[in-house]
Amino acid sequence: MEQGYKKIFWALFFVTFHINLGPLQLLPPFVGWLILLSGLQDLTSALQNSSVSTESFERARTFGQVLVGLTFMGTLVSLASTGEMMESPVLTFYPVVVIALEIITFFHILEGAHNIFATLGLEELAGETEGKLQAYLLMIIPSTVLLTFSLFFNHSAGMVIGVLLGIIAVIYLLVFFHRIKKFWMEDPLGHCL
Amino acid sequence: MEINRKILKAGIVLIALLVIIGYVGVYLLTLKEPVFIEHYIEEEIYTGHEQGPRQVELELNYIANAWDSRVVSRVDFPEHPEIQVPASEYGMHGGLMMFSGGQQGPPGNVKGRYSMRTVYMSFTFDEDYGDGESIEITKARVHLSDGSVFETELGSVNFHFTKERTEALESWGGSGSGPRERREFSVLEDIELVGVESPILPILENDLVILLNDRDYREIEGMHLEAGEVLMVESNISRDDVAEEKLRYLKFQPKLRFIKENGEEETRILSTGWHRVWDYEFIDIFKYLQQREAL
Repeated sequence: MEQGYKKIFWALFFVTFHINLGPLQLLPPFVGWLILLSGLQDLTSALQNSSVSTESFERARTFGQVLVGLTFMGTLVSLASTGEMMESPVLTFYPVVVIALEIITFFHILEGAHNIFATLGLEELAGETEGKLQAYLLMIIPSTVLLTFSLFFNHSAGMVIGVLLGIIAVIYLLVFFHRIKKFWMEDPLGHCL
Repeated sequence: MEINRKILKAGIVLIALLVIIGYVGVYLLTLKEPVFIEHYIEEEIYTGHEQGPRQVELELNYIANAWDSRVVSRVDFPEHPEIQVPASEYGMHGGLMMFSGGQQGPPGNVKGRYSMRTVYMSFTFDEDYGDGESIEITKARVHLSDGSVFETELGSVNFHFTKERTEALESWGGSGSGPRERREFSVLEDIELVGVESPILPILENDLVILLNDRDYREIEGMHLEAGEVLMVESNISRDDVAEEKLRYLKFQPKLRFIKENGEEETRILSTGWHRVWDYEFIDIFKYLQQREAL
């Protein structure tokens, strides 16, 4: 479990924060999504012989696979066009589509985490997960709506605010994943699974 | 978890709707080709006393899609194929194209889906043009950096050539800038005023005030001025707060026509009023493009 959440943590980190070497992105987003798929695989494997449903993680995996394909194509297009194609009207809302799929993916991951805690009778942790998910949604959805408007109207200030709000939401989620990872590292209930 | 599910559903439906509406908007608002705004320009070019070729620098504005990375590489004029001018969107310095270093993306002032771009051109006229000759340019053929070419209406760009300047009126002071100007002339010999003329006068008629010694320019015919008198000229071009007038480039140089004592007719520029295109938003460009039926 700990390994799975560790990978999800780093996947979310790499798809949000890009490290560039000149024009080249050292770790393109699709690599981050591949790490996430691997993390989800670890989680479902760990839950295989338990009574906990893996349905949410399976759903997250489906959306994760779509994101791998979409961001791989995005990387190819940006490499082939040196940026000009990315300004094409066809790709105006490409970032919004990626973020929307990202929201659904992380919803299912947190839903899965909630199910584990609920099945194990850890009501407090289950409630906390639910609360964190709600806060994440209430931050990331308005930021995405703002980003959509800003991309349409080429409004720089709106874009900056939208992206900053989105980053705050992601950092909030990263902190929570770190906490879950630590919880499973200490493994107080690992024997239950 | 039920509330979270509802928040997610509502959020994703909202985002999906915005993306769909956004793409419809992008499709509807995309320009098939750039649109030049209307320019009404007058330039007096003095070619007398063997001064050699004269250079006139002009700026023409056009609207392009904000994402359009092409730039204007050349402009020629179907009505005047003999006029060849260097053109650039990066400014002209001494007739040479200078590219500003370090600038990201194409030049232009982005407003929503559009970008207001400026083409800088340097016209060179030799002394072949006779006194009183004029050139009017209303159309341009624009060559873009990707090799595409399109023809566009420009409005009316007028060059007037003058070899001799009148000695009957001498300007000795003025104030104001842009659309409002006040100038004073010394009358050096007796003259009789005929009228004020400009090829773009009919376009401005409703927005224009020109007073000559407090008399409207339409009522000056037959007015006598004696040597030693002062001719006070006040001019103002008002601009309504509508897209059509906000996005109109004006450079207006009305001329006073008068008869001297010896019966010769002469002219003198009274003032220079202009409106540059600077105060506009996305909605003004959108309305303007609708009026021009470019969308």
